[in-house]
Amino acid sequence: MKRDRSDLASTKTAEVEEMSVLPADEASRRSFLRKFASSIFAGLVAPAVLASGATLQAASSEEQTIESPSQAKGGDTIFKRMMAELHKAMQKPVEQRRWVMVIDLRKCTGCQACNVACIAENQLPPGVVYRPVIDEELGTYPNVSIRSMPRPCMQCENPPCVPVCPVTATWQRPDGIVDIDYEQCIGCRYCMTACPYHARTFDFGYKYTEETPAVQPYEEQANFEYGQRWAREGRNSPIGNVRKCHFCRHKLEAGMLPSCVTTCIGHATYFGDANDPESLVSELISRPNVMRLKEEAGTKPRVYYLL
Amino acid sequence: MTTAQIAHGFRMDRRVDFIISLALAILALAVGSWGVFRVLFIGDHGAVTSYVPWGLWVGVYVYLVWLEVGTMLAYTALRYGFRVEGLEKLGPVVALAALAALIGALFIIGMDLGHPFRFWKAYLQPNFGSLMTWMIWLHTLYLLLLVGELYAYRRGKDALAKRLTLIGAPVGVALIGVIGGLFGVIAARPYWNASVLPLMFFVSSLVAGIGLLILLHLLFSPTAGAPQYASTAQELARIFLVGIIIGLFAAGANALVIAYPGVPAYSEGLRLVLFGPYWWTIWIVHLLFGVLVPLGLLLWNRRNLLVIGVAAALMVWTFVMVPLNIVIPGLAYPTPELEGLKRAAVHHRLSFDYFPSLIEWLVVIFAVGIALAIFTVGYKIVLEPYQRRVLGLSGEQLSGGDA
Repeated sequence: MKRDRSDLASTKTAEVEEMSVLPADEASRRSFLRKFASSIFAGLVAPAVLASGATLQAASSEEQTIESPSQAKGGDTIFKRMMAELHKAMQKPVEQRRWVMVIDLRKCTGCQACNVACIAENQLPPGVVYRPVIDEELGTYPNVSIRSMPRPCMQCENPPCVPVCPVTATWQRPDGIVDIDYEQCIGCRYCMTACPYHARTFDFGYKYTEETPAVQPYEEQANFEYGQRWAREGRNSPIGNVRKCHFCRHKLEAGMLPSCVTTCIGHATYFGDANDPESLVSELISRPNVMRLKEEAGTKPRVYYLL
Repeated sequence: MTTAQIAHGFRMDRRVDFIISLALAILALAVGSWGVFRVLFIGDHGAVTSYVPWGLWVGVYVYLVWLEVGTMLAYTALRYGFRVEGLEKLGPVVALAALAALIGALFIIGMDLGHPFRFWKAYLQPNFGSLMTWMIWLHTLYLLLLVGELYAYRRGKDALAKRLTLIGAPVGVALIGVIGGLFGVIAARPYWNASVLPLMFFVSSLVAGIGLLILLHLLFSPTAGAPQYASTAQELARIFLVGIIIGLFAAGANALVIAYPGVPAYSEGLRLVLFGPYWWTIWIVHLLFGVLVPLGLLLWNRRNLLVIGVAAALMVWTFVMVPLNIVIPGLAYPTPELEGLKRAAVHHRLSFDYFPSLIEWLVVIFAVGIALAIFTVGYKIVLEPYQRRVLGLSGEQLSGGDA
């Protein structure tokens, strides 16, 4: 029977999963070895096969987005422009800024660089994630494709998470960023239930190296979220608190772009002040191929996606 | 009938019962203390995840509030509204049971906080725009009313006790409504987001409350042995039967309305309840043992006090599955647009699957121990002086019918 690329990849996944659930004494040795060998083979071949597919897809994306300013001016130019616009915005009073993030889904490769950068910047422990990259499988076999979609906090214009907090530990700043005061948060998690985007996670106090011979010093280094120093000591905040993306507010205030923006290898994430009509983000969100998640809810996210 | 026979109704007057009850409370506290220690000093938060942030503790909290308010409301309505005979001297024990459930509930919800020692912020730095703030404040007000009521009973100020009971009725209704609303207003969770939810909470609370009222009457009524004792129980059983049928109709209608359109964003929660991995909690535990069996028993013979007691006990005990099946399934699935979140990160705290951990069960056991200890000790402090005064019994008679 002829098998195409997607079939090969899906077979590999299915067989690896099957092996992981089969009790050892139930699977015959021969069957196990056969599946194991085919999995390894599939594992060796699939990246090459998938990569060629990805190249093709990327090429077609290039064609589609060739006229976008980001493409035309090149990555460095884009960063310089966004930095210049950021500095310009920071000269204005805070209430005159309107921070917006734009994510071009056609360029997102699902590499997770933004997620990793976010984890490093904010010292996120295991189980806390601000910017998961969601891989969405579209279509049905054999017409299948994958779309990767980073999902930061939407910094909604009408944030449902804010009014429910019993102690006003979370609020919306004039520039649109939804803040959390870790010292005020009692950890009731009501805001987590209220977020339509599942964008808030709870810090359970884990460490990556806690069950190893020694907890590594980098685990206890402080992060500087919201412009304060938060060391992971004992059960101090942010342990026991709800956490979420804040557009790297501490970096913005130091004149830097959010970490997810600067580390995106495909230049798929843009950031800037939507109140500046000449800014890149203003230009991008005025396009017809823009969408926001759960528009029908009326939360008015400040994260836009380009399709 | 002698006063000693009348006193026989107060089962707790017996010294052995008191000791057994206290021993059980201490055992529960001892067993549960490990869980409480883990929560308070190690920072163990049970098995909840970032996507299912509320679990067993919130479910049990709602259950205890339903019992606490429902019993008081049922008592107030039947005693002062419908003037059911035989409930006249049940006031203190109802208030005591409500107080015990209330403190158990407050304890358990305090344990659910990420920073339990910051609970005071809800009092000193409240946001009255949040229904959770209203829940905390109303709950505290209800606590004060119950304490005041018990104090009044102990001091022989029955008129004050009655006044506080009547004031407590609207506060109780508001508390139930606010807790129902607390879930109902969350537009992000379609399974919860219904204007009918506060009403459902009210009906559930009342039905469970009538069940507990029957048990309190059967176990602690001072009229035990008198003809009125049985007829009051039978009257309560008739009302209970109607309550179960109304509750069944309300729940069924609500479920059908959710299920009929078949839109996954709205019906997924119900699908999880009915056909998910924990389907047996609703079908077997609640519907079979908590509704159908009590219904059958009451339709079969609601003159027999044992049958009435078993029916009420089954209903009250298994009713805990109702709030659990409201709280957890409402959270246990992502919005369809973000279905991929299930696979976006690999960590057990970033999962939509949840089952309570041992620590969570231990904390619940501790809370039950607190409630039992309060009820047992409160009985000695409040109920015995009340009996002495109302029934004119001596200390010897109170310490046991056999004395």
